[in-house]
Amino acid sequence: MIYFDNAATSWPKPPGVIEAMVHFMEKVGANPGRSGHWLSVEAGRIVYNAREAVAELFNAPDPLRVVFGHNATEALNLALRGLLRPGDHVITSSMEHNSVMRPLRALEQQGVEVTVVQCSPEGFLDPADVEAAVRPNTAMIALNHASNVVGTLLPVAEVGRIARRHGLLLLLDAAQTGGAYPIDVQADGIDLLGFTGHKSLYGPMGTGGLVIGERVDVARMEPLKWGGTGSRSELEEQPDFLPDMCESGTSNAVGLAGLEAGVRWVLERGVETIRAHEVELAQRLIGGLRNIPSTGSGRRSGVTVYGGLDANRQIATVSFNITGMEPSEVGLRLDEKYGIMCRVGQLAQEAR
Amino acid sequence: MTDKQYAVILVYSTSYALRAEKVLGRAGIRCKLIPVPRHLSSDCGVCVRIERADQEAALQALEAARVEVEGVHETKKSDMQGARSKVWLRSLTHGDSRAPNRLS
Repeated sequence: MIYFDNAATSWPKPPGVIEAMVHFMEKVGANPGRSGHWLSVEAGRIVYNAREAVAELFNAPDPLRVVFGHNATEALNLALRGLLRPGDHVITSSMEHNSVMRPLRALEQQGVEVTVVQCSPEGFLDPADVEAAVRPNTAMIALNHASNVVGTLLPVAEVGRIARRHGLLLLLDAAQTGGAYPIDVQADGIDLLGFTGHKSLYGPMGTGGLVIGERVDVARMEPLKWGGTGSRSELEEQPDFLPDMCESGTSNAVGLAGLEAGVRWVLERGVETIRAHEVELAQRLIGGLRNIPSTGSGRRSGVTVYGGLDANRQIATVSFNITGMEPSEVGLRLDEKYGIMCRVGQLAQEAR
Repeated sequence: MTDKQYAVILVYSTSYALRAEKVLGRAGIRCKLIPVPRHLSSDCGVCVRIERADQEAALQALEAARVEVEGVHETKKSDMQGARSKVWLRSLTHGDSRAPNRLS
């Protein structure tokens, strides 16, 4: 069996991830941050350690500004809906996933202005087009780090410089890149980083979060949900400090135990090493697919590979079509005949 | 037996206490997370107990790491024992329906 669907979720996970989760369930198990007894403190410590690991991976200076949620979608919703107000203008790209595009279209109904900057047919974004879209009321640039369809990397550091120059916030959707491609929130000028735990961080599903930079005015931020935080319980108002203000409700502590182990696994190997390995594999796949000869029989007469065809300019997600064959048929044959599991059909990102 | 002199550092939430524990540990300062003594705050959760002699160094280390501190209280071992029993009592009886230390 060959599992080729790691862009949807990575599998199998490192053994340490499973061990950390079993340890939590067997030996800890208390509610983190809710009580003063040592088991609750130990559960809180495990969650805190996950914050430190994530902060280390992305070079974020303050682990308490790592806010956990269930996935990248929740993190991106928190950033967009928590900070954008009617009358604000936001710039995004035509390579966005629905987890950015749908909240933006919903916000548009409430009076937020949205500009979608068009990418090239290969999926590349010209930073100059982003800068040209800046208006006096622009508040944020929301950018997908890498397309989940063709894998193309977008120029985050260049866009980060544009955001700084114009005093805008940069929100990066790192669902496909966190752990697989080097990210430095300080060097790249990223103010808000949405990540998921279950892809290239090798944690379980149901983990993810938002890294919130120093330029974000937390007093202006609205949480997605209000409720119990284990802090300031005598007050009926929501706490106004991170991470508590954005983490109401009991967290997925067992998942975060696994996430920490996954991030540590990535840190031990080094993102650069992982990246180099993935570039090699992706280039082999691109080359192999493009070398499949055309049979000329009309059916199955050639393979089209999408994107820039250069593994150095994309992540290890490769999209292709076989002329004359439905993608669903290709997927079914790869699965049943060869035990190769991959993703077919329309993805969460439309061909915009 | 001498009565051990402590300082108790109150922080905004358990996440801050855990960060403080890490920061102090790295600075070589001994600390322990304990339930917040009832006579110091009605907040639930934990606070950071250090030896009083380490107070200045601890606050400097926390400031350098930008861990916000809500307050510092000097206390003794004998105070802590009294406080501990008070916390237990309150959490068992639950006072009124808005008891600040109700389990959340």
